[in-house]
Amino acid sequence: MDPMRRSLKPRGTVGTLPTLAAVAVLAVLPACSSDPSEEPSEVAQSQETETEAPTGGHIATVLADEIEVRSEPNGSEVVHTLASPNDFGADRTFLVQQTQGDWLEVLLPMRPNGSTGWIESGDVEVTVTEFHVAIDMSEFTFTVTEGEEDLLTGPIGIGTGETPTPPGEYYFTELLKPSDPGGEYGAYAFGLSGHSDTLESFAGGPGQLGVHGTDDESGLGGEVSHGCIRVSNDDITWMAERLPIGTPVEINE
Amino acid sequence: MRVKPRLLIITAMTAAFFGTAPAFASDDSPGHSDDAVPSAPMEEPAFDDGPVGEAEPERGAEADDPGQEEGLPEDWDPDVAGPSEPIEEEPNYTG
Repeated sequence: MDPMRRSLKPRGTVGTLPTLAAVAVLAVLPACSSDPSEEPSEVAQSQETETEAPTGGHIATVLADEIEVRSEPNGSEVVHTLASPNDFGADRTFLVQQTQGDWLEVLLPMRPNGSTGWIESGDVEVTVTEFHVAIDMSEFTFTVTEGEEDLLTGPIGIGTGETPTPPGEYYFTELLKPSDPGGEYGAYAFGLSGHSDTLESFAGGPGQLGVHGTDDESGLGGEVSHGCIRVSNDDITWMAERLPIGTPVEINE
Repeated sequence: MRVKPRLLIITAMTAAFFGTAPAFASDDSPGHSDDAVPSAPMEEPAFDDGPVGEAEPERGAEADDPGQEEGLPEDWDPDVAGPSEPIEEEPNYTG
């Protein structure tokens, strides 16, 4: 209490010990808080991500001017040689189905729908996407998901009874921008890896399926197309700004 | 009067030190988890639930489920694919 005596004490004694004690108490508080419980849930969340099946996929983009596709892995017969870029000028891409060592089994953009082949992993660059497009033809709707999250859903038009849209697993092969957003293909058009089962050719092409926009939304919610999936111009524009080539597309009856 | 507060303070500091030490230990150690967390965070998590840290991928099931992706080579670390620049071309899809 004597100021003089107080001033003779080592500086670190009177004010320091209570301060250190306060710091020590504060250091204890975080350890007693819920942070340790939060971290395991974050870790658990990351573990769940690693062990759950993905909703997106792996995309293989050809590095050279062409790529050999084989019927089996490990140097079997070459069944296709595909050029890159493709006929529209887009980098040749595939959706990876499985791997075996240095070989990738990929979906092929050719008939019959669902065809696969094997390519060497060294011939492509592999990227990953969590986007996925699900088409529900019975409900005339599409849903775009990213991981487990639904991002966008909307109405669709599908093929007529004479020119039906074939269900199956496909992927986007290219993104085109027509000159007239008010035209038949709307503001944008994604090509699909699949083809019509009834049309061998259409508009000078091989009967390739697509997902494209339309400014005539009266056709959405019905059987109106020659096999393509039609969405509104707003929805196709949203997709064009986000979805990469190679995004898996699942068309369900 | 001097001794008691100081003793209490030192006791509190000691208790705090020993109280926080386990918390710090559990925070820092990834191997502390009992779960079999893959040891290589760069490994691709999206392919199957097969063991990522093991050297050889499974070969027995490749023909069973064509829709199921098997383990990637260990040196793969795929980037996230981004949106593409649209090509100004007229489509010839089925429409």
